[in-house]
Amino acid sequence: MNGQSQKLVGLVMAVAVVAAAASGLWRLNRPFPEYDQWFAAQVPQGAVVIDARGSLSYSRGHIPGAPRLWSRDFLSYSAALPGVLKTPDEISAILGAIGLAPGRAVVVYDQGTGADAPLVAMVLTALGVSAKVLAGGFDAWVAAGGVPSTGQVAPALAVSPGEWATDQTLLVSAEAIQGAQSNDEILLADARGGIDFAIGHLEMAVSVSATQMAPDGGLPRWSEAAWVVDPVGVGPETLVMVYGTDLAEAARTWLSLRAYGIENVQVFAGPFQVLAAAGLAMEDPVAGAPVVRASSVCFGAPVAPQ
Amino acid sequence: MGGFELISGLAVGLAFGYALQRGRFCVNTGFRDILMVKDSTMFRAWALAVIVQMAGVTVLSGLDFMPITVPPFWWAANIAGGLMFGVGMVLAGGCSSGTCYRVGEGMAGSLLALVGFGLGILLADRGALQPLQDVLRSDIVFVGGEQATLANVIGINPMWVGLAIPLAVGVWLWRGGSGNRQYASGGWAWHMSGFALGAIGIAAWLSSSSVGREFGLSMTGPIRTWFVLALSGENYLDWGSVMIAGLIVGSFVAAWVHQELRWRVPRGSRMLQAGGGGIVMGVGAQIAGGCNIGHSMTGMSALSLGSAVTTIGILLGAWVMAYILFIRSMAAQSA
Repeated sequence: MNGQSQKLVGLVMAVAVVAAAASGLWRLNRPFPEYDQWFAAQVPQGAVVIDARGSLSYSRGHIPGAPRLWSRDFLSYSAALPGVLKTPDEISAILGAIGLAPGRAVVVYDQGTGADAPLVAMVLTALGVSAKVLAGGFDAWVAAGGVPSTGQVAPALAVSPGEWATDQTLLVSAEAIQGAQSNDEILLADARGGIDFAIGHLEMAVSVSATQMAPDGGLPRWSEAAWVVDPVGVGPETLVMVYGTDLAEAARTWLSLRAYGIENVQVFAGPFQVLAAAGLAMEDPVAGAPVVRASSVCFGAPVAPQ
Repeated sequence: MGGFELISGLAVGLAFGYALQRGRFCVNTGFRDILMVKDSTMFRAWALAVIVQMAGVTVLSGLDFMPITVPPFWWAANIAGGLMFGVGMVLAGGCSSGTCYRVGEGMAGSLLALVGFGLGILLADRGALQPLQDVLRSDIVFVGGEQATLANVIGINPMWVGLAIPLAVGVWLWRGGSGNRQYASGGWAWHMSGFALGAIGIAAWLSSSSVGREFGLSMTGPIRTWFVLALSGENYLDWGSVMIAGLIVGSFVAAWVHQELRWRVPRGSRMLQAGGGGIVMGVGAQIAGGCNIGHSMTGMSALSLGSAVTTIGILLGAWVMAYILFIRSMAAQSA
């Protein structure tokens, strides 16, 4: 080859590398396609803001005007069925007590780890409320200059229960989960990752861990979500049923999948132990069940991909 | 494997192989020449590649544009593995990346070294030497409960360390002159290959991290996946594996375009030495968790203490073997 051709080949190589770098940078920092529908960067003027944290965190400081609605208040803790979602009537009463009326758009926040806000947002969504999670939570709001209040917030008005439109399709029963195990059209997603998934999960379930999709708890990177979701073959039209260690964990995966653009996501309305106790088929953890692929850097052993 | 993972891994690998071949870049040469011929030209190229990548990775991760993984500090494994790798690369006649690019040029000895490298990796990863690897890796050092990095040891923001080191080394390189070693004519000058390799390293971090593999260029893990595929059929191919394949093809393209492609077969004893050196290199790299690329370029760019220790081990192992193989015999001949 002559000198011009040699230079051309070198130029092509350089362009290829720059393109790989630029597209990698873009992929790493691109937000989820539906991110803005589910996350609010800041508290909009006039929005109803709800604090989803426990009483201690709330008392130390909260966004002014935000009533407290702890995520765990939505759950029943009977000996037989711990951590199962309360009935729609019970939930309606809880929402009425803090003065939340149907038809109001809501912004929910927690500390910023995603431990509480996704569950409240999910329950509100099931009741027909337009709910978003505040990105970064209370910590990000304070870092952006917010001045917390420590006073209690009185309900603006009282509403009676039974006025809520309930989405019957979002929350599913153990029977529905069992049906998903033998239905190729449904992806059964375990919101747990790592060791929890590895030591025991439902047969036919794949790990779609919200922690892996958003390691810093609520601000997912597209690349991290794609790494988790793409190998399991989830598309916008896929029907996904999610379960987790508890409903809060499942809600985090639900939120991440919705922000990722998956429309049809249903959640089991209780903890994983209920499914296990109900006798649903479990995958043999020794026989090499499907796991999500992990990175294969040279100092660690690779994990078998799906 | 997704389309982006395949294409970006290939693109980076092709460019990596091309730059290695054009720059005749080999850490074995760089480390050995300091001792044998008192020349630091190739060493400078390596140093420049490291600091360019370090500056880029520091800025990108510091501004939260990119997540990074810091290699763990297995102090015993890093020391022992580094020494073994250094010894092995002198025996083999090239480091892991040097071996791979020479395969693309047509060197049969390097091909045997590469095969030895892969077998050595498997020997330590899942063969007879796995217990040794496990023992040497049993103790991980953390600093303040976090990964052992130069910044954590000093106790300051990584941005300061990750930019101060490139600045200091950059000044040394700037003032140190151009070196006097004449490599094959038509190749790149040391500063061009150093800068190109550093930039390719940054591109590797970005494109690899964007598909979940939060690391940059590496040789040991990707070569291991190919050998595991070949010997057991288990398919772990990913961005790194594609990058390695691209490296060899890129080197081939570079050699072909510049009429440097030649099938060369050294004499039998040299072939055996290359193969044996490759095995020792592979064992060392697997035990240390990386090699001259994974530790001495990529890991160093993440300020990994384990990578720094491994690199020192590689240097010392190379010097010991260079002394035994070459310097002692040269001294005996001239006596």
